[in-house]
Amino acid sequence: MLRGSTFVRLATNVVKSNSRGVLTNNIARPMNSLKFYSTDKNDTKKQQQQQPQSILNEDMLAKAGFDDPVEKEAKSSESAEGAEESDGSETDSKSSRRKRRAQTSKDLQREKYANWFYLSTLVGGVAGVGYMARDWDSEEEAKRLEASDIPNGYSPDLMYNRFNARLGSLFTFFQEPAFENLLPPPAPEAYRRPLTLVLTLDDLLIHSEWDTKNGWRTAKRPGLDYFLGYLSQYYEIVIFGSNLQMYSEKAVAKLDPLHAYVSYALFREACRYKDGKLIKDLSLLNRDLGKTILIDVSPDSWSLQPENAIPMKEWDGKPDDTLIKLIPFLEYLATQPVKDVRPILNSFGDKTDVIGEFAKRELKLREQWKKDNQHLFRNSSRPNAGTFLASLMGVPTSQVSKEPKMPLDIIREHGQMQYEHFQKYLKENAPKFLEEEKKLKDEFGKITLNKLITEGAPTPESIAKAQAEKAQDA
Amino acid sequence: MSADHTRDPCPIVILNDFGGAFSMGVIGGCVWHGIKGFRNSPYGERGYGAISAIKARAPVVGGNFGVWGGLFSTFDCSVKAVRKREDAWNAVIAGFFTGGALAIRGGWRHTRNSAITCACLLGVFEGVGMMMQRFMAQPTMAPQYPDQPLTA
Repeated sequence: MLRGSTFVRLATNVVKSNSRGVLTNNIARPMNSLKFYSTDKNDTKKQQQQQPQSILNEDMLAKAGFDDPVEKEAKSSESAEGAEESDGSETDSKSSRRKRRAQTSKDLQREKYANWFYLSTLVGGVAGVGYMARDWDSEEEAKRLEASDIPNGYSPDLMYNRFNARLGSLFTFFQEPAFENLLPPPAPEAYRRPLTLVLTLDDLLIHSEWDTKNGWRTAKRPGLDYFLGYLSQYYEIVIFGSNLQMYSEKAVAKLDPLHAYVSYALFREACRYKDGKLIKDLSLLNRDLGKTILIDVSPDSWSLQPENAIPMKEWDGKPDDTLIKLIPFLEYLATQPVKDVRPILNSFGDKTDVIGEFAKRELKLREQWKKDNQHLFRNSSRPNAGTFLASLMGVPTSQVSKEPKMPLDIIREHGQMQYEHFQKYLKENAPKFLEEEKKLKDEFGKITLNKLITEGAPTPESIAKAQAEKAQDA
Repeated sequence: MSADHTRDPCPIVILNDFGGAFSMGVIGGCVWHGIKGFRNSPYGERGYGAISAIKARAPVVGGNFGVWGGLFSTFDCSVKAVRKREDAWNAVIAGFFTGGALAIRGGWRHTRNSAITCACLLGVFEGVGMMMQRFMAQPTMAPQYPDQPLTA
């Protein structure tokens, strides 16, 4: 500080002596001298006025941390005066120093702008809050925000409630599913399957693990292919994942490369997010809730329709056969003329062990059936013409005289036969399907940036339209 | 369970983020200080000026970016662990703490302002990201059914 002030003083001295020098040596510079002589006093004054602006103006000095000598003197005298009040004066001088630091013109300007900014933010905020607390624009708005119980009027609590409801609606925009109907309307009658099966993806069908050696790895649950393939003949299978589409769609594509099993795939975008819970709202599926079953691993998912859910434990990636064991129950549900699955599901109590409970019931059903149809067994064990002939020909009797079958087994046999047929059909046509898909991808996959910006990404609608046109041409 | 398989799970992702942010800063710093050094050098020394400016300044920019990225990732993981939720608020809260932590030497006012600014910025990022996501999400379409069902 001291060095700075002396430096300033020196500098002013130099400027002063220089001005004097100009006065004395004016003959040496006649161009200037003329002017100088004519307005001698004014000019020196002007120069004295100009001198702080010369090189080291106040801004630069302040920026460099130098104090103005005049102000410093004033401050020292001030501090001498207020020496008695020790603490107060010290903080005062501190704050004043800080204030002086900020006193360059640039800082002043900046401060002004900042103040304007704060002021406009405040005014804007108040205006916004007031606007959001206004009366309902219409009955519909109140209804839409589920706040019909809040009447119009300008008492503080009513205003606050309206403001709250409107503010909440800003955020629910992100929490609601992206679409009103998650699925297109059910297939035409000829293609319709009796029930819709909604499956979650992670930790039910697949499991992802990370370790330092291999990074991320995803495992398919044992029996998954059979599960999907077999049940796709009875169910419209919808995979409803809890993760974002961009992370999960590849996994779904790998589970069902021919698009033969999974009818639709939904992802986190279709979930409702409320209070930290990811809810799968089945009522938005565009399907009869009485014919929809949700199999999930997270209680949050089914919190809106618990009666439709079959809860499962999270699969941890170890070998298990839960999916296969689950088939008989689901098959039974789909092959019986069921109007509403919910009472049946609820008959399993808390549904923690649907598989075991159903196995028990099936066993009971079998025994009952055996008891009711004893005459069939009697007939089968009795030797008849067929077995007699067979024994003559040397054919083992077991092939001819089959045990009578329970309807459940007949259905199962039929299902397995159909499954095998379908598998054969898929195997024969797989290359064709894959080629078709590749063609489609080539056609619609090549999106130039220009096209994307001018026309937008191709919607599924346009793709389907083009596909239909092509089919007509062919 | 993390959804994004392009990223490692939580404690390790901090290291990844630190490295990623550092390299991003170094590359950006090379461009920035390369141009700056080039323009601030006299003719004839411009190439050398650019290189020396890069050598002197780019690692600093990288370090700044890296510290920001690492800190943000650390806070993000912590917030996730505490809240046990995965949504956009995680990033906003993590941004708040990051901005605050980096400005803490500037005093209480500076810390507060910086934290709020940073949180707002990340809120905007997340909001735009979610808007994009909704915009890109498309309704599922029904397949084209032939008029007559196939007879097997």
